[in-house]
Amino acid sequence: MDISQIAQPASPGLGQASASPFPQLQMAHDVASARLDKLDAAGALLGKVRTELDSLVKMGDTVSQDDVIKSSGKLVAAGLAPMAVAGLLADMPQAGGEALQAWVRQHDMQVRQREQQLATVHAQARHQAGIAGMQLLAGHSALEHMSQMQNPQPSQTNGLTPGNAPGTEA
Amino acid sequence: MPVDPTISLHAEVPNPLSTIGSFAEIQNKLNQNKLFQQTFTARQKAGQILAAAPDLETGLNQLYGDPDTAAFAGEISNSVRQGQQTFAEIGKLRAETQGLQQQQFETGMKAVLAGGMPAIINDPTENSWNNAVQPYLNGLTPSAQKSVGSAMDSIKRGLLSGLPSDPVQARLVVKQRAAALGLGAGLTPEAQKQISGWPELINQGNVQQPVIQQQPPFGAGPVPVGPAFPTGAPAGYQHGPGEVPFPVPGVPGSAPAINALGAPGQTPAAAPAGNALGAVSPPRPAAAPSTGGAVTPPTAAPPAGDGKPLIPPGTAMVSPSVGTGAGGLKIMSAAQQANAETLQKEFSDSGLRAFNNATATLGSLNYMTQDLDALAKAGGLLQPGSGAAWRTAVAKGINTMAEMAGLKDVFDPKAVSAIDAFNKETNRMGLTVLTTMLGNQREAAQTINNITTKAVPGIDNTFMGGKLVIESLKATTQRAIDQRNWENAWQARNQGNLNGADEAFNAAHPAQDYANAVLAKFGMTPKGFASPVALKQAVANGFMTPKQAAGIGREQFPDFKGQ
Repeated sequence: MDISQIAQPASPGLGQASASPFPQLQMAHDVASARLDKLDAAGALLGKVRTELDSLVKMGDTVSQDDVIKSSGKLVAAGLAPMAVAGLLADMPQAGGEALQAWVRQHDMQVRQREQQLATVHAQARHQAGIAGMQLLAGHSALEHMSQMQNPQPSQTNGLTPGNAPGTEA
Repeated sequence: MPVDPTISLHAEVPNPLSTIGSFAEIQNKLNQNKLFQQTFTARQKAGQILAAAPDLETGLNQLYGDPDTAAFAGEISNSVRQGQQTFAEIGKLRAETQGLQQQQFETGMKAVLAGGMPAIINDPTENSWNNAVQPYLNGLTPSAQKSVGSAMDSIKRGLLSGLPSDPVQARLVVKQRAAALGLGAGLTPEAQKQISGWPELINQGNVQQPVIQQQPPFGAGPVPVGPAFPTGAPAGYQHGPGEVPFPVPGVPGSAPAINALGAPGQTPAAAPAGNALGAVSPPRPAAAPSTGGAVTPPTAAPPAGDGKPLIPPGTAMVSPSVGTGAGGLKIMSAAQQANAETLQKEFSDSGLRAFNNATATLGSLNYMTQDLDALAKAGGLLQPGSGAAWRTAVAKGINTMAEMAGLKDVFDPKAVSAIDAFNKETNRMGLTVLTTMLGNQREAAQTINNITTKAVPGIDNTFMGGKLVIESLKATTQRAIDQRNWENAWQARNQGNLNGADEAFNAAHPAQDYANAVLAKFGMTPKGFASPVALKQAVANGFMTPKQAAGIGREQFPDFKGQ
């Protein structure tokens, strides 16, 4: 891509996503940003699962099926797919006490692994989004500098440039 | 007997050494390209490693264990340290000076590197980031805000998303992420410094001025941040309990000592003028007991910027009053009292800020003048191709941005080599500096500029036009300093009452006199060049071409031949 062509007056203004002066950079940025959005949303959901699981784990062997179902209801209300929650509950032990406690701990471990996986992927996505932002901003800043070179902004001179009457702005 | 083959064969035979040299040159370029690619890849990989590392130090150590980055680990670690140092220094200045917090940035990248990042490294919150970059975004069109704003938002999220709640830990994580981001985006420490500028202390004699040093196109020269501070106190007196004066010694290396109390019989006008560098001189009380000790002989006060003594002989420096009470205390009317209080408040608030700005600005302008003169002497700025170093720096700066954006064909430095581009930039640069204080001295600045730039039609097309602009800015800043010194002297004579001080200063030092002094430096008067000799001298100094001088000269001196 030739930046001098981008800087032509006919090129579209900054900020028009569909007509960005840097379509490739803009697209890379939009993709990275959308990926981070998705992962943020996933992280938020996982956070809610974590909250409910923590409360169940704390109950130890006093945890009951009612407690689990109550927590599941909260997760569905928070946005988790009802079918997915139902699938989780399908293998819940009928008996409470230690069996149910072990079941809860097993899910706690699984969610913990998911959290770690998500943290790694999220860190990468965050890094990529930041880089895409820097690259897009660098492109815009290059244009800004070129524009300033071509138009030295007489309006910011307070009328003191040679040839201007004091107090008048070109 | 050696035979020249170009004679016998009637043809040029390639020099074998030259051919080998060409091959070597090509091979060298290929190697350089390969090394560049390897370095580029290594930096990107290093960015990923740092981003995923538990902390910065662990991440830097991990670079030595990765086959892609191991060879460059030392260099990358140094880059990271340098980048962090720049952020930390700017962040420290931001925290200490209000002026830098309110800095208006020219581009988005500068707003991020000089504003947002240093701000959140100190205070890792969204508010801190927004406060630093929002003024820049506010200055954009709505469509530009959308695009640039989304890019900045991604950078912000890249740095601030999911931080630990502990502020100390959060700061460490932000530093780590900033380092990773810089590496991943291809930001070298040199580019970072060029874009954001870097803090320096400029020694101006007996004061030191903190500045952000900037290179084109990301700024022009040093920008003062905060007030200057003295390197040492001159010998003089301080007031003890019960207003009893006691002598204090001077600090080695300080400015020429000024007797703060004045010798008996000496006119008290001399001391408060300070010095040409604009250092704050202690106000001189009206009556001064001689206590001996460390009192140094008074130094002669330099003249004001218009060449006259700051307080011309015979000047009555007396505030209006309705009479004199016991102990010589002036009695004021209610209106006079109210006015005096208003003036006193302005003197200590906006007046002090304007004075500090003027002091710092004068230092910057002096630097600018020196640089321009040096360029002129080094071959004449009017010659084609001269001043190329500066213009190349501009082009390089733009190239840095383009490279970060991953653009292949970057700006051609030759495109900015035109001298008119340089002159325009010089004028803009000087005027930007002065905007810091135009609120206080706008009228005087306009008067001075009007006279200096209108004296000779067409002068604005020459390098001398740029010189005149800078000199007129210097005169304006000097006038602000002179006025402050005048007010100090006035207060000392009128029990702190500033009523009438401004009017008396304007009468004693009209702005026109400062303009005339500027013109006189260049052999000019408000009506043009004083003589054909002065015009020729301008050519000899490299301030205009003989052709320009001939054009200007014929207007004023019909027989002028140019040389």
